[in-house]
Amino acid sequence: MVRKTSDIIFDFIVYFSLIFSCICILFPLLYVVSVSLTPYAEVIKNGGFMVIPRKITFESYILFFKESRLPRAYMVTIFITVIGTFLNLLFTTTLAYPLSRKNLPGKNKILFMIFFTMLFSGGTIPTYLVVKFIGLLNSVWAMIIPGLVNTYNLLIMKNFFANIDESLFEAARIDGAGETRVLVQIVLPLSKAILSTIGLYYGVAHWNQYYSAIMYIDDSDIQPLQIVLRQFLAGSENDITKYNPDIEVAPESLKMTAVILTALPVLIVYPFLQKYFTQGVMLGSIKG
Amino acid sequence: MCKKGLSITRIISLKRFISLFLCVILILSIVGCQSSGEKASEGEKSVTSSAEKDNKSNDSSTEKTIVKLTMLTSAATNQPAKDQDIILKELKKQLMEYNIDLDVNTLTDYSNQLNVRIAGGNIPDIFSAGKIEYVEFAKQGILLQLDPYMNNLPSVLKNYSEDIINQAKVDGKMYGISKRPYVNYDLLFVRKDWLDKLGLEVPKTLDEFYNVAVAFRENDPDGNGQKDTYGFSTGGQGIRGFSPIFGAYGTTTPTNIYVVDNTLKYSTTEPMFKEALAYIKKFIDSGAVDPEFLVNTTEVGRQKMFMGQVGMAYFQWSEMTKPPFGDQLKEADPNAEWIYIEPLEGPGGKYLTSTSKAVGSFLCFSSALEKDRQKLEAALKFADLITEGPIHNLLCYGIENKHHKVENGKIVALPEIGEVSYSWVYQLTGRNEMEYLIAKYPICENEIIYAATAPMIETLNGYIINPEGFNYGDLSKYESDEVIKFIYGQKDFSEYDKFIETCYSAYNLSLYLEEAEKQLKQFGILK
Repeated sequence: MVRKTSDIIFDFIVYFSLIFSCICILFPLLYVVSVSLTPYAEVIKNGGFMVIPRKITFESYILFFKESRLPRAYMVTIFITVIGTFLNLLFTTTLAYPLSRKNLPGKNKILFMIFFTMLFSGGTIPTYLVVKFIGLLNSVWAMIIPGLVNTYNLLIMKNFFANIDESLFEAARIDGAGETRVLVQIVLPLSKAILSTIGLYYGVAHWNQYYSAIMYIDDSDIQPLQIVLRQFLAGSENDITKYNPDIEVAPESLKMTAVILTALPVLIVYPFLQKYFTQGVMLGSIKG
Repeated sequence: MCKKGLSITRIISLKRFISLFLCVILILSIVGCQSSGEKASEGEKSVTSSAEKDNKSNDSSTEKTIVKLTMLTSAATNQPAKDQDIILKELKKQLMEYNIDLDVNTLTDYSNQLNVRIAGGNIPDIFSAGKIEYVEFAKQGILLQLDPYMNNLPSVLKNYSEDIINQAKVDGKMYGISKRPYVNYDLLFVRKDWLDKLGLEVPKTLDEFYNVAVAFRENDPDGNGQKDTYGFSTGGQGIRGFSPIFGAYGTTTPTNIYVVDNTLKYSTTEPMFKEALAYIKKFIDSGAVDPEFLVNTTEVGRQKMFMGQVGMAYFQWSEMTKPPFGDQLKEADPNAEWIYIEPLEGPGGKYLTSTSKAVGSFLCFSSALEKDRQKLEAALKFADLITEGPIHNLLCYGIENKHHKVENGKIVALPEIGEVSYSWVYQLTGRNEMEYLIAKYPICENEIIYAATAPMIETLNGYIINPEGFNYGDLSKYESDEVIKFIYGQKDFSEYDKFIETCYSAYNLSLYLEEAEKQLKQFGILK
């Protein structure tokens, strides 16, 4: 097949823009990596900006792992990500499945009540009070339970379940399966795509958990990674401490190390889940 | 027929279900609120009863129970985990001797986090608060009123000047203990080796300053054959970086109040202020000022100095000569010789910058302490202990013979003091600034003393509790935005009067000035 000039130009434009946007994304990452690896004196000698490090030191990485708060913050974040995502999925599926069945009495009313929370929220202080009265303050569960079911994710999942062919359920029921069995043995195996998609949504949200920690956690021993990271990057910039000569701002290399160490796990997990990710979103939206 | 009946009963049962459900929620929420309220009061009862018991047991034996206190303060960048926090461990140990069990939490985004906790009724026994929050909390009745208990604070009464104590007054009543204020750390630095190379003298006047800056820009002081140097820069200061120029005109950066000859002056509306802006505009137009002057962060500004991109800078000594920066500078360029210089002389006098003796933050106690005598006494004892004496020294200089030693009654820092550099987070009542800094950073002694004692204009904004209907932040932002337009030539000086008029009409400046005059008279600053 002969390629037309217009095709070649089209391909060229597509490749060019893709490569260009790739560079735009990779360049800052590369900069972050190289700053984290370069001694400060070297940065200054090279005009403060360098992409390929000439001298490499792992000093800031070693410093970081000696830093006492980090390993603990990692444990906290891993805990809330793993346990939190599991609980999220458990509760989201068990709520989404019945709501996806047409014969559920009062379905629309329940759905409306759930949907209502997307439009109006209780506000910061009332939510804080609820968490306080439940007794979750200063506990890792404060970062898991208040956001156990995300309405948006629930609706996606409900729609996915609703698109599964009704005859499958009928067949299962004829074979004597109860609702639980239908859910576990029929619906869930068919929903791997949506489960991993929603799981990824939840997982990333937990990994980036910041707001609930800021709100509900006082104890520095159970603060998650992002809080520790922020402290490194921004310090405590408020008017109480602004002009204090004792303040030590972390050097640039340490800041960049912090960025890498917190972003890396998500960066590693993403490609493995990506195939489900695209598949999942497509299935949820197109089918039906 | 039958089907219809079924669906009707179904609807009825659904309605019943919903109303029942709502009722249950309603009742639960009420019960929930009540029970928590009951619990709190029960807790109080148990505390008072235990206090009574203590009193009884005190009569028979000298044994005392341990009082639990909670404290919140902001976290340092290099704050360690609690179990590795040497200072906190030692502090807790030493407080145990006074039967105080202190639970400290440090927060990252402090003022926001504190606000949420207070609004949620989760008030720590002891905490620090900035001026604006302090006044608000005091007016809301969240804070313990301290007037009856001032005699429990002998160290505070001994170490504080009356002015500093009185600054904690809101509507004439004490609600907290002032944190002793900081001093000025800003200096005007010049590269001596560049001056020598170009055969220039240390600038003493505004004109000389201008000429030196232009020479640093034009005459290639680093000798690399490229026009890559700037005359003047700063870092993390924004418009305050021009302070030495405002000082030479006898005024300060915008939105500041100061007193000359017993009259109140407001920087932005002073005639000299406008002249200073004209000078700055000329200065910027010459191209000698770092184009990123206003947006440099401290780190970026310092990097420019260390890389030999600028020849003069308005900078804090603590960001410049304090370890490790002094060594970094030597490593980056062994030939660079930075010196700090005297204030520039101009038509308005000779002032290095503006400074403030106003207290910026306060140690506060929860008003709930009043119900528990034992806790209250412990909290006051704590405040007193951290103001002077061994515990104060621990929070300032670390553990004796590990981080510091005492020689002839004077404190000498040991190199290990670096590992507890975060200890300032626990200094809720501050410290004797000069003594502290010189002991802690002996290498910077000259800079410390000069920055604190150079001729400066004292700004008084920090003393004033803003009146209702006036927003200091808004006015300050508006003024600095406009001032930047004037000095960068985006607005012509013919519009200056209109700008001042807007400050009065749209931002209620006259209300602020009236209130300031009234309050400064109360402090005895204006007579």
